Amino acid sequence: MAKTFKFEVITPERVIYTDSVLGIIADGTEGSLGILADHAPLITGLKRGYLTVNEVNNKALRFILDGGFLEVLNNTAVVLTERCVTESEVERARANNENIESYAWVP
Amino acid sequence: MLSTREIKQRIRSITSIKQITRAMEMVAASRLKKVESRVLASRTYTEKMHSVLSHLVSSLESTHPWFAEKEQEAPVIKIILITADKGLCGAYNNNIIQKAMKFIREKARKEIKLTLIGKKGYLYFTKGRYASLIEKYIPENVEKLGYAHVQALAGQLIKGYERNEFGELHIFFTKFHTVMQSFPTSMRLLPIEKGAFESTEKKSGGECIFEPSAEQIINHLFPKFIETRLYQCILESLTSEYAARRVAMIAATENAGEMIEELTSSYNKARQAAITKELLEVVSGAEALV
Repeated sequence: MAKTFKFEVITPERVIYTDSVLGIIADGTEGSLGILADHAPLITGLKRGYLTVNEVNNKALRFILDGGFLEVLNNTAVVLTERCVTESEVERARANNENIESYAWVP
Repeated sequence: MLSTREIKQRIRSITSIKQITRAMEMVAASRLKKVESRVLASRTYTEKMHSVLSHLVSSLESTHPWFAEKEQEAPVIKIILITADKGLCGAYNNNIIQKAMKFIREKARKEIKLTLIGKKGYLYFTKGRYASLIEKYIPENVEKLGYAHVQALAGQLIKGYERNEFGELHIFFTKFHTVMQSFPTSMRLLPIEKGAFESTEKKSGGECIFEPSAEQIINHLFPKFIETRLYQCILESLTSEYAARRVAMIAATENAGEMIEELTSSYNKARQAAITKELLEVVSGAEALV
């Protein structure tokens, strides 16, 4: 089984996600980048856009971030962002016409 | 001694006070629970950001302008004071106001500008001799200040700082520790204190990759850092407020209970005295007839 590492998404309001994952693909300010276990220490800015997490069960989870930062250190990746939602959450909200304003920033 | 009727009235009024304080205690407890989870989440965010920044700062070659003291160019000190909107929360408001007042007195020779969050602090300063120091009052309910509000406020502050409108920015808030304990605290937000980023963790695994450069990231991160700190301070204060109110209301409810007990016993005594008196009157009246 592929090696995993710890991954967290944190906003000022709450901790959105924290789990061991196989890999993540993020939209950095300098271009898209993928992180796997044992990545070198890295700090980068993130653009507004998608962040894909490959979970341990080989399922992909998609988040939408409103910019932010990614730090990788000692096999721990942390995303700090001000706003973050999961893709399914937005789709559900848009389908049901609920809380449209609170997702207005989502591309 | 009060008459039985008067005592009865007092018992009734204290019972209703007790009901009110108990209700307030419940409200404070439920609000506290809600806001406590928010403060803990925001703490993790602030701490993470702090550790990211410590890595960045330790790898920077030149010092960032936000570390530099600029007492000469801009002698004005700006103070943000966070209080509650309402009273009935023990010494909470008074403690933090006194701390701020002490600081203002110490720095009396400098020009001070106050930004007030929370109605109680505003009322206190408009009445006193320091009313002229108030520069800004944020009338929104402290509880309703969301991250977006704080962002706007922090944006204004940072612009002002860069335009040299003030040289130092201090914040006075109440740090939440436990329900029984919270500490009135002051912190300097700008310029950032040099000691703030002494890296606590050992750097591991050699050099860090920065995308884009460390300078660019830091220029982007510092305003965010001020925002989160400000937000964190507001949440801490809010939590402390509810905790203080809850403790005060528990004490008030207890006191009301004690008072009711005392009054009830004096009511019983008064009633007994009245009965005895009446009996004596009847007996002595009967004796006189014989």
